[in-house]
Amino acid sequence: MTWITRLIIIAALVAGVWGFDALRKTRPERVKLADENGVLLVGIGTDIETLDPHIATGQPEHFVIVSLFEGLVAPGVNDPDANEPGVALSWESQDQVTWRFKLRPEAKWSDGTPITSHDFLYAWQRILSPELASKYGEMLHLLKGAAAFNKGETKDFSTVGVKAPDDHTLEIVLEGPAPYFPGMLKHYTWFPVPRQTIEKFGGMTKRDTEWARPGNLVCNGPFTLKDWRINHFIAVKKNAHYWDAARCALREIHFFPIDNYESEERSFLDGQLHITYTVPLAKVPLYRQTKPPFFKQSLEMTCEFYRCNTTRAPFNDKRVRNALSLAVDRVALLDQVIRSGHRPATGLTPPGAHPDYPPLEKVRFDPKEAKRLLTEAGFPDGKGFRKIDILTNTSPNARTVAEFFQESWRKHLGIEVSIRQMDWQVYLDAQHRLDYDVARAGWVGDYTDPFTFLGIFRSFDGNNDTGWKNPRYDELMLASTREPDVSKRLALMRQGEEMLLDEMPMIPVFWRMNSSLERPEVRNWKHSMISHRCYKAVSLGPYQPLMPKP
Amino acid sequence: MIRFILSRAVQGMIVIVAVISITYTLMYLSPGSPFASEREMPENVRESLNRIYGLDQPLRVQLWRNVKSFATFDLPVSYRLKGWNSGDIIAQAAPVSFTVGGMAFLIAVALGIPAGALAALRAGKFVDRATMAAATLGVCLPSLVLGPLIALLFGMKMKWFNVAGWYDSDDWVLPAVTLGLISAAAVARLTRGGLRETLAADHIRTARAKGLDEKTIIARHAFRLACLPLINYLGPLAAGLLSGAFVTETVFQLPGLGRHFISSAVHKDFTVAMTLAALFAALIVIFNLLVDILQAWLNPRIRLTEK
Repeated sequence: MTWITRLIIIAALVAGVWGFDALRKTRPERVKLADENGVLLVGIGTDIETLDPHIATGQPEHFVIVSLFEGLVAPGVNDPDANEPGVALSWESQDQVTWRFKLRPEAKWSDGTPITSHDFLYAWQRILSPELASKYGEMLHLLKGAAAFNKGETKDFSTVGVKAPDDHTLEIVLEGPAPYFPGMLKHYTWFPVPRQTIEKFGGMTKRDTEWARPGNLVCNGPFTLKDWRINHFIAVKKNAHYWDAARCALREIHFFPIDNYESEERSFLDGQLHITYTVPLAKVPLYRQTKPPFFKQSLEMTCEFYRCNTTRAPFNDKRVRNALSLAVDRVALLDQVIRSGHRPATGLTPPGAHPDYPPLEKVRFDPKEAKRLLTEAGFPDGKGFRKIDILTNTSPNARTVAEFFQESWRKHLGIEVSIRQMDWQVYLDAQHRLDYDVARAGWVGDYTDPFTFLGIFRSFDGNNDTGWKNPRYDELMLASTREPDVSKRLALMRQGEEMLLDEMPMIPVFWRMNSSLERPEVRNWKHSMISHRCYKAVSLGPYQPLMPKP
Repeated sequence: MIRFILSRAVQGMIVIVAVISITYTLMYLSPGSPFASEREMPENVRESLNRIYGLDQPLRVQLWRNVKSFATFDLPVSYRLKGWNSGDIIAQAAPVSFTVGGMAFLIAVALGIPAGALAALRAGKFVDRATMAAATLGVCLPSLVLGPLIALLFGMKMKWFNVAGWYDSDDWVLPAVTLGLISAAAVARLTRGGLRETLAADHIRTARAKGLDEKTIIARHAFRLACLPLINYLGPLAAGLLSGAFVTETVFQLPGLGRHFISSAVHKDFTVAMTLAALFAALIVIFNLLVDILQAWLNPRIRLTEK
C-alpha cells in the first residue's frame, strides 16, 4: 500500500464519519414530533400487569387506567385532589351514610352504548364476587353488607348497600359516615366496567380473559386503548364518545414503563419523554442544588416507617420500641444522607391528609431518653440485647436508610444490627408472616383522610403486619367511622394516633417528596398528593428547548 | 447423519422437559408467593387465587399439568400479566432479542475473528499487544458499564442514535454494539489462541516444508482447525445472545426476553419463567447440534456417530 492509498483511505474515513455525524445530529427529537402531533410521552415506572380495574393493584396501572376509565367522581381540572363530577352529574348526602348520585345521561362507553347506573351495580358486584378473587375487593367494604358478600357469606347481591332506582340514579348506603367517600370513588376499584365486553369474554367472574387487551377493551374515560406492548409502551388515543371530549386537548398519550431510573432520566434529557415518573435518587440532591427549570418536586401523601415485630422479644416491650425511635436523628438522615427533600416524620399521618388534621409532633430525636428507656427495659448500654435484623427490599435507598438506622442504634444504644435485603415478593411475604425483627415499609394514602394511614394498624387489618393488637385503638378507629361530626371524628383519630405513637409498633421515618422532570411545553400538568391525574386538562404548547437560552 | 440428528432431537426434548420440570420445582420451592402485594389481601382471596391457578395441588400434579401444556403447545397463562398467556409474551419479546442478539453476534464475529487472526499472525508485535489489550478490556468491562458509556457517547454527546428505546428502525445499533463488542473480545482471544496453536502444529510445518505459500497455508489448512475451539464457543454464545441480555435491555430500555427472565423470577411468575427456560434450552440444544455438524464438516477426524 503506498502512502497515497493510505491517505485516501484515511480521508474517506474522516469524511464518512463527518458526513454521518452531520446527517444524524439533525434528527428531530422525538418530543418535537410528539408536540406537533399532540402526543404526550409519560414515564410510569414499572410495567403494568393488567388494565382490568378490578384485577389491577399497582400505581403504574392507576396512571394508565385513569386515562381509560372514569368513575362517578373525577379528579378536578385545576386540582386533581379536588372532586369534580365524572359519570355522576351531582351527588348529595345528609348524614354521610346514605348517598344519592345522579348520573349524566350523555355518558357513553367507547363503543357508543350509554352508561347507566346498572353498569355500576354490575361492576361492584363483579369486584366483590369471591369467585373473581380481586385483591382490592376490600376497598369497597365501606358499602353496607359488602364485606359479607365479598367473603362469600351471602350470594345475594341485593344485600349490599347499593340500588339503582332508575337508569341514572344510584342510591348508596355505607357502613358508617364517610365524608371522604366521593374522594374514594376516584380509585379505580370503584370504576364501572363494560358489561357487554366482559360477558363476551367468559363472563363476570372469569379471570385472565382477554377483554382488557388492545382491540377488545371498551372504556368510558377521556381516552381509549390503542396499543399495549409489554415492557415497551401503552398508547391511548382520544375517545370521541367521552362526554367531555371537547375539553380533551391531547390526541394521544404514550405511557412508558422504564423501571431503570437512570435510563428514564437519559431518555428525558435526550428528548424522548415529556414527563418522567421519577428522578434517580442519587441525582436529586444535585438537581435541588442546580435547580434547572424542568426539575419539579411536590408533596406526596406517603409515610416511610419501620415496622417492629411486636410478637418477638425484645420488641414486645414498648420502651424498647420507643428507644429505637428516639435514637434516630431523622433530620440528619434527610439533610446529610438522603438529601432528596423528604421531610422528617413527626407522626404517622403526613401533612395534607385533612385541612383540620395537622401532623402530630411526637416523634423526635433524643438519644439520652432513648438510653434511659432501654436501661429501664433491662438493657443498660445495650447489654443483653440480642443482635437484630433490619429487613428491607433491595432498593439502594432502602439500604442507605437501613445503614443509617444500623449506625444510630449501634452508636446511641449499643445494639448490634445486621441488614437483611430480600427480593420484593419474598420481603413482602416475610412481613406478612411476621418473620422479621424490624422491617422497612411505606404506605401511600388511598384518599385524603388520616384514616387511610391509621386504619392499617387496627388489630384485624391485613396490612398491620406488626402483630400489634390493641382493643382500645380498634375501638377508637371504629368510633371514628361511626361519628358523623367531622371535628369529633378527627379528634377520635387524633387520640388513636397519639396512642399509636406512644406504643410505637411502627417507627415513622419520613414523609416522601416526589421528584420528576417535566418539559416546558407541557401545560396544566398538576401535582397531586395521592397520584391523581386529570389528563383531559393537559395540553402541549409549541416545542421549546429544555434549557432556556441564556 | 439423519440418525444422528434424530437421536439428538429426542435427547433435546428430554433435556427441555427436564429443564421445565426443574425450573418449576425451583420456583415452587423458592420463598414468596406470585400473588403477594404490598397491600395485604384477605385469606379467602389468597386461597381462591391458589385454587384458580392450581397452586394448592401437590407438586407432581402441577408439574404434570405444565409439562402437558407445553407438550400440546397450549402454553399456560402468566401469573403476573393477567390476560396474557406466556406464549403471547414471548412472541412480543422474541423478535427484539433476536434482532439485537443476531446483530450483536454478527458484530462479534465480524470484529473478533479478523482481530484475533491479525493478532495471531503478528504475534508479539504491537498489533497483537494492542488487540489483546483491547480484548482483555472488553472481556472485563461489564455491559452495565459499557452500555451507559456507549449511550452517553453516541446518544447524548454525538446525538447519532437514541439513548434508549425501541421505536426507530435503527434502535438496535447501540445495544447490539454493546453486546457485540463484549462478545467480540472473547471471540478475538479464542481465534488468536486457536490460530497460534495450529500454526505451530506438525501438519502446518509439513505444508510449509512442501513450499506452499503462507496465504494458502493459513486460509486452507490452519484456519479450519483453528476455528474448532471458537465454534464450540460460538454455539452457546449465539443461544445466549438471542435469548436476550437483561442488563443491556434495561440500560437501553428494550422490550426483549432478558427482562422477562429476571422479572418472572422476581415476581414468581412460574409460567413465564418456565417458557423462557424452555426456549433457552431449545436454543442451546439447536446451536449445540449445529456446532457438532459444523465441526464434523471442518474436521475430518470427527464423525457423526452415536456410538
